[in-house]
Order: sequence, then C-alpha cells, then structure tokens
Amino acid sequence: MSPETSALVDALHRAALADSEPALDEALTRVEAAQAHAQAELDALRERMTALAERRKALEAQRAAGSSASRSAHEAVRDGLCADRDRLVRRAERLLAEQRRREAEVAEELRAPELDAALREVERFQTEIEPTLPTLPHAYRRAILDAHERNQRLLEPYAQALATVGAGLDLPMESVGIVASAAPASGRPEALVVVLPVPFAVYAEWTTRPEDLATRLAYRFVSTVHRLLADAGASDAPVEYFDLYGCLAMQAWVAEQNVTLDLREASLARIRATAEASSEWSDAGVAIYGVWLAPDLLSEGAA
Amino acid sequence: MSTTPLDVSNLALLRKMSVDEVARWLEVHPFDVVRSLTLTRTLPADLRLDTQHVDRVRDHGALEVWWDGADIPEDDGKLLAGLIARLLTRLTAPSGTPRVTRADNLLRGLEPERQAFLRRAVNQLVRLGYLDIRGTPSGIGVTLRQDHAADLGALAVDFARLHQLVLRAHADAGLT
Repeated sequence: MSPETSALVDALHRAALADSEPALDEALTRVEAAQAHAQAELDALRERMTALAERRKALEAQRAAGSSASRSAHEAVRDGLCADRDRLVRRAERLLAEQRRREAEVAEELRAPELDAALREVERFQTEIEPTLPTLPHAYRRAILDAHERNQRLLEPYAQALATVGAGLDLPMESVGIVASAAPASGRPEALVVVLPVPFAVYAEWTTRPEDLATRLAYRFVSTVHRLLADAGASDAPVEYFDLYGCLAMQAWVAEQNVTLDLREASLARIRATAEASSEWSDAGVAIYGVWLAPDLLSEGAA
Repeated sequence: MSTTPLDVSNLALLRKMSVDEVARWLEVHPFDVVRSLTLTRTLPADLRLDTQHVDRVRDHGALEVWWDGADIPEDDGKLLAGLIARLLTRLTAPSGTPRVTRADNLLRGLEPERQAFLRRAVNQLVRLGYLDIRGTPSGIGVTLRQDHAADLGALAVDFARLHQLVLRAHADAGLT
C-alpha cells in the first residue's frame, strides 16, 4: 500500500470513528481525488502499453524483413556460384568432347607414312637419343638435332590442332565470376577467401578427373591467389581448399602476415589480369570477371 | 622401324607435359606444382611443362623420394622398420636441431596401398609421441621428437612392438 493510500485509509477510519459530517466530506473529496489520479495514471499506462505494443510490432516487422533480405542475399550468392559452376562444367564437357574428337582425327592423320615415321623418330629421340646427346661428337649431335627439328616442324600443325581445341568453334559467350572476400569485413585482414566457379572435385578428385577447362581455370586462379599473397608479403600464409556449395574455395590465413595491401583492390586487379592474359578463355567462349563480397555472404550456414 | 600402329596416347609426344602429369610424376597435388612454379615465377602461360619445371618444383617444394623400387621390403614390419631408420637418419640434423620434412616425402616412391598403410603407421608414431606434426606453407610437415629418438631406434629392432604397431596400423583401416 502506498503512503498516500495509507494516509487516506487512516483519514477514513478517523472520520468513521468521529462520525462527523465535515470529516466524512473531506475524506470523500480526498478519495475522489485519489480515484481521479489513479484513473489518469491508468490511462497513461494504457497509452504507454499501446505505444509499446505498436513499437514492438514495428520492430518485429523490421527484424523479419532484415532476416528475409539477408537470406535472399545468401541465396543469391549461392545460386550465382552454382549457376556459374554449372555453366563452366557444361562448357568444359563440350570442349572435352571436341578434344577427344580432334585427337581421334589427328591420330588418324598421323597414320600417313611420312608423319608416322616422324612421330616414331620423335619418340626415339625423347626416350633413347636425347639423354646420350652430350656424349656425342659435335657434328653428329648437330645432324641429329637438325633431323629432330625437321620432324618437329612437320608435326607442329598437328600439335597446334590439339592445343587450341576451343578456337574456331564459335561458341556463345558465357560469363563466370571469381568471388573474393576478406575477413573481417574491415580492419586488418585475417583471411582471404576466393571461390572459383569449378566443382570441388577439381581439387578432391584430381587423380580420376580429366584435365579440362575447369581444371585449367583452377590452376590459373590458384596461381593468381599465390601471386597476390606474394605481393602482400604473405607467400608463407597457410592455404586451405574447401567445398562451398559444391564449388572450389580457397582460404589463405594471413592474420600473422601483417598484410597492408588493399586486398579488395589487389584481388580484383589480379583476377582481371589473369582473365585477360590467356586466349584460352576467348577460344572457349568464357568471360571471367571478379566480384568482391562481404565475408558474411560466404558463410554457408547463414543461408 | 616398327610397324605397330600408333595409338592416341602417342599424341602426348606432340606436346609438353600437363600440370596433372607432372603432379603424378612427382606424387604431389597439382596445386602444389602450381604454387611452386608461381612462387618461382616459372609457370608458363600455356600451362605446359618440361623437365626443367619438374626440377624447379622438386627443389622449391623440397620434395624427396624416400623409397625407390630396389629397397622396398614386401613385409609390412620391415617396411615400417625401414621408415623408422630413414626418420632417424634424415630428420636428425648434426646440430641436433630437428629437421622438418614434408609428410608426403615419407611415402614418396611407394605404391598407393603401401602408402596408405605407412600413413596410418606414421599416425601411430605421432600418437605414441615419437613424431610431431607441424603446419608449413607447403602443407603438413613431420619432425622427429629428439627426446624420443633413442626409444624409436629401439622400437625398430623390437620385433614384438613393431608387430603390434603394424597390427594397429592395419586395424585403423578396418583390415583386422
């Protein structure tokens, strides 16, 4: 009981005991005032409760919208990575089939007596003659090398045909992204993450997979990451490979390397340079671009 | 001149080696080949490699062949004893400072099945405290615990303990 209510009760008691009309009037007036005060307080509390309920509703709606937006962003990243990987895999399969077809064609052409003889001489040179060259007299060595060079020139067009499988196929252009990120999102970087649009099997099952377009993309961009780490003075950073949504991802731990390089700028520049350095991509009809993402968008469990 | 028809594999004569082929030759992962050639700035733009690249990878990656065909015992116990002898001679530096070597060096030169057996045996040696595992930029490294070197040497000639270790290594693979 509050002190005011207690005083009021006391006053009513005294008035009842005194049984005096003025005292009762005074007590009733005080009770009415107290009731009015309590009612005002109650009304204020009701208003506050209503306002708080509305505020809570607004916050819950805001939280639901934020969570939905975050989930949508994760799903977009996952779907984008998987779609790029699948596009590249399809293109790699197409080129591998072409490679097989061209190998069979070249093997058939090499059955021509002159070419067959040249190829056998090249084989003999590589397996038997070359190791003995330093022991041979100069003139003899020169004659063998000249013959070998003639054979190589004769076979060069066929070697070239096998080396440039994509060229001339006029394949429609497909774009695939190399995703890079650093954690934490700001401040001194502790980890650099790069996700490649190739299946994780390129890393984990290399002994049983053929070396295809996806494999060579991985080689070139694994090299790019090591170049980047070297630029950042972090060539000794431990690197791990892992599966992200079925794509090959690599993570370099740079926390102990005191990296001062702007990893975002440097990564995108290196990716761009690698994408422009080889004609293999344009031959294969693949355009490669770099994307920098906030690290939380690559956290698989958050989706 | 031979009259045997050429098969498609002879087309390999027309080109240099791929990264995969060098990796198989050196018994390392292709990404190790790429890393070594990148850091020595010798990775060719066309990703085609020759024997100089092979030497470069071997040197940069500190690759060692611990086994060659002639000295690989058939018996698992003798193979393990051979590994212990190599560990003692190759990982003990004259200064007494323990030397770290790539874990795959311990197995290079063996057939895949025997590599798998020896890998499990090495895990046993780590569990028993004879070896330490270290992370290195090129992967997992192994070093000898010098304070246990004498006991490890004794283990190599103790048939009963060696046999026990072989059984444990097989048990790890669910073979016994």
